[in-house]
Amino acid sequence: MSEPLESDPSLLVVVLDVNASAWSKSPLTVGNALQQMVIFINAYLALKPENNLVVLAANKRECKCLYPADRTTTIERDIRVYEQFRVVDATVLSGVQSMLSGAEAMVGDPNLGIEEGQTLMSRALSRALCHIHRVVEGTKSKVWSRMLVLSAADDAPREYISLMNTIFAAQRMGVLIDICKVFGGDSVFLQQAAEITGGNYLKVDTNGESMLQTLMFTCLADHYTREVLVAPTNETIDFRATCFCHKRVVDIGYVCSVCLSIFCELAPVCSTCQTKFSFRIARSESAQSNGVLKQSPKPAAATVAMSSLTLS
Amino acid sequence: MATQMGSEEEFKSTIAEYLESLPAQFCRRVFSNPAACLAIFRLLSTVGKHLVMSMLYLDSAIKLQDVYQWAKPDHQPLVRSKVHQLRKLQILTEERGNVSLSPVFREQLRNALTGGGDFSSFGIPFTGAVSGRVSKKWLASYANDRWEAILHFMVGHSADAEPPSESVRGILRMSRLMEDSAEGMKITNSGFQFLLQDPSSQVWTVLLQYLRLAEMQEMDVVEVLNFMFQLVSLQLGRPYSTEALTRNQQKMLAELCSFGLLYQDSVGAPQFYPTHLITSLSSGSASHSAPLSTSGSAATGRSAIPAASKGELAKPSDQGFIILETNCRVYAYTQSALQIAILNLFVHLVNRFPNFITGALTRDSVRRALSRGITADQIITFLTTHAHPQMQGRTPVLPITVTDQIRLWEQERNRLRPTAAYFYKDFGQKAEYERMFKYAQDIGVILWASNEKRQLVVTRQGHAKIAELVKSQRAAAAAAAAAAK
Amino acid sequence: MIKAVKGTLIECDPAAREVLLKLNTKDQFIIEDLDNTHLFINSTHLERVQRALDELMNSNTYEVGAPP
Repeated sequence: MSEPLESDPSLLVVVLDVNASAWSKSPLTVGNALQQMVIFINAYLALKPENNLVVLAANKRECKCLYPADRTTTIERDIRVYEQFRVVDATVLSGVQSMLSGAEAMVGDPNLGIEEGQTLMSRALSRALCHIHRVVEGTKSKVWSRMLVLSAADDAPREYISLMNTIFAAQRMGVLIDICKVFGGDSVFLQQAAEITGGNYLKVDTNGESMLQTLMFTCLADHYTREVLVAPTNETIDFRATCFCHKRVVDIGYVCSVCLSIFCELAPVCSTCQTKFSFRIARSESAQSNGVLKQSPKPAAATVAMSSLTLS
Repeated sequence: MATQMGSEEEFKSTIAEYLESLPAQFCRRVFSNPAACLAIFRLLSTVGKHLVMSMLYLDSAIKLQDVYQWAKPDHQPLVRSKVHQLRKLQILTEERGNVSLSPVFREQLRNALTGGGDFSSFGIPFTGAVSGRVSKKWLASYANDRWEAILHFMVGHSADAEPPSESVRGILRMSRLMEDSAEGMKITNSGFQFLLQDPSSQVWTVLLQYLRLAEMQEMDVVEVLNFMFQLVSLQLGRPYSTEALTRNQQKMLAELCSFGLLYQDSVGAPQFYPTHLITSLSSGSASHSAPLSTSGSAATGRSAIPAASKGELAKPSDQGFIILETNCRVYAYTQSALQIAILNLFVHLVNRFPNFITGALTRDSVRRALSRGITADQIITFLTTHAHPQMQGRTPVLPITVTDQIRLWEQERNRLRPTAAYFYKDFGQKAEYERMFKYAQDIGVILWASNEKRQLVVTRQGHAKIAELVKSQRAAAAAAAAAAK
Repeated sequence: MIKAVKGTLIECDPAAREVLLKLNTKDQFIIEDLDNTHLFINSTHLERVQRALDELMNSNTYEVGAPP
């Protein structure tokens, strides 16, 4: 991959988490966070006229593309704002409003459970990658793309596989993923997303007043600037995985030696690749191969075995 | 000089230079307008922009040393030079080792991003009745016609069109793109270079000249600058009201109309329209998609797209007309006298048909262009941007043999690289030579040095500093001698 | 005593230097012959020398095949 040049335009995909139930617990209100985000988006557009922008919003049920909008809405003209900013701001804000009000109508639904506080992030990220792919293919000159995820909700363990696949796809495409987690605990999956793709993981302190400054400082930089300036570093990253069978986050689990699927308990057949495990060999080998597998989880060629794996 | 500039990037730095040359209180007045702040911000380098944005929402000043620490170790000099540039532009202010953004600039740039502050800075839209004939497409053809008429006038093929207005000619004369001669106005070497630039650099050149003109006529430069930055941020295809404009701005409006940068139904009409020539300066999209190919409908139809397609993901491809073969032959599908005149600058033309000309790049034809001050890069850029669609798909677009040959022809002309300098010789002692060598090295002015011969060549600027040093040393020595007595 | 001389530093390839040295025999414009690739000359002669070199080089170039 070539070096980024100063004149290369960039493409930013902003993924907004608009999960109403998650935001209701946050000390920073959705409105406030959005306002700061919109200023950040304006700042990004101000950087270079060629800069491209896509804004996606996701919640528990759906993932919508807010900008560029499918239909052209007529927006009240405000002469104080630069035309380009005004169009983006208005479409993003109205889009989020409609998604939030749509979600409120569902609150009475008895089917709502603990998963209501989770957002389908993998769907949003893969959609973002599709947008990026389309732009990169459709542009003659080199476009450097990155994502910024504004996340409020907790991790959804059922999404682990699809999310990891998306992250690795992003890594292959050279897309940086910046994460801005607004409140609550650290997001294990998104932390990994930032780490693997070379982006930044930011945790905004509880009142969220410094969110804009933090965003401006760390996430506004394009690929070229990141070569020049120092990026903040993450000290500890939680690299834990989720098991494929019960979607539990596990410290120690079993790994299929053929397809590397992770399970929290012993199973006779791998649910992913349908491999039948031979337990007689497995028991005797697992003790020996444990240490080896920790470093390089490469399946042993001949033995079809299930080994326990410690994930650091 | 602005007219010597090859590319848009270089030119942008010269408008920044112009701003740097303004006194501090002028800068503060320019900054009092959000549109101007946004436009100036866009003229900065990428790293400069990032530094500004990083400090935009910081409430207190930070240590200059800390700013330098933001850079990775091997990029420190780059960041230092950018900080220095920001300070020259009065955007950064320093106080006791702490730096912060200029308060006016910070407030107005925040306003530009959030939509507060002076309500008219992005232009007041005209709300009255407007005639239906002004569409984006119509504006594009109007602007192209006007602009081409001027370029035609420059190359002297304006038989069918009337010569441009006095103010246009005045600016052409002042910028030394043309000069007066016995048989009317004649194009100069810098005029030839101007023709090879892309439209947006050409427009910048004109705007900068306009600023100089305003200075000479003792108009308020800040007023002109603010209006200019406002114009750059207008929206294509919308009418704007002339109501709130000052007299100087009205005058400027009329003159920019004669360049085709703006359009007015009639002189003194209550509304005006910006054309793609000026709006593309800020949106950047038209520098590629609206070339001044004069072949009529193809160009105008396409140049109506830029602003509308800004939100779209792909840019439309350019409609070029030149085919260049590996044997240096050139085929151009054009009937425009202007394009032919431009090609004639560096191509040996052989045949001319109604809509097609053939020719070849020869050593003599290229050398003729080089002797007019046109650079090899300008020729290559021109051929690349106007290459026929059939050539556009290849990488590189032009045959590499030809581009290399053009560069070789240029190099062979520049076998000598002269630098104005001072030559030091006959140093008395080794220590004396070494002391001066060390000093010259520290301030980075050495061009050539020989330790064996004890000889030194330094730049002219370096000589002034070294002379000062020697003088002060002599004075110190004399004082010491006097004290000893 | 140090001497400072005003002039122009010329950086060139050794071949061009030889041509300049030859030109110098007619009228003296070289102040100092520094090394293989550097000469220090009188500024007033710069343009004339450049032109002379260009002409000389031009007379030594031959076009392969006639232009089309």
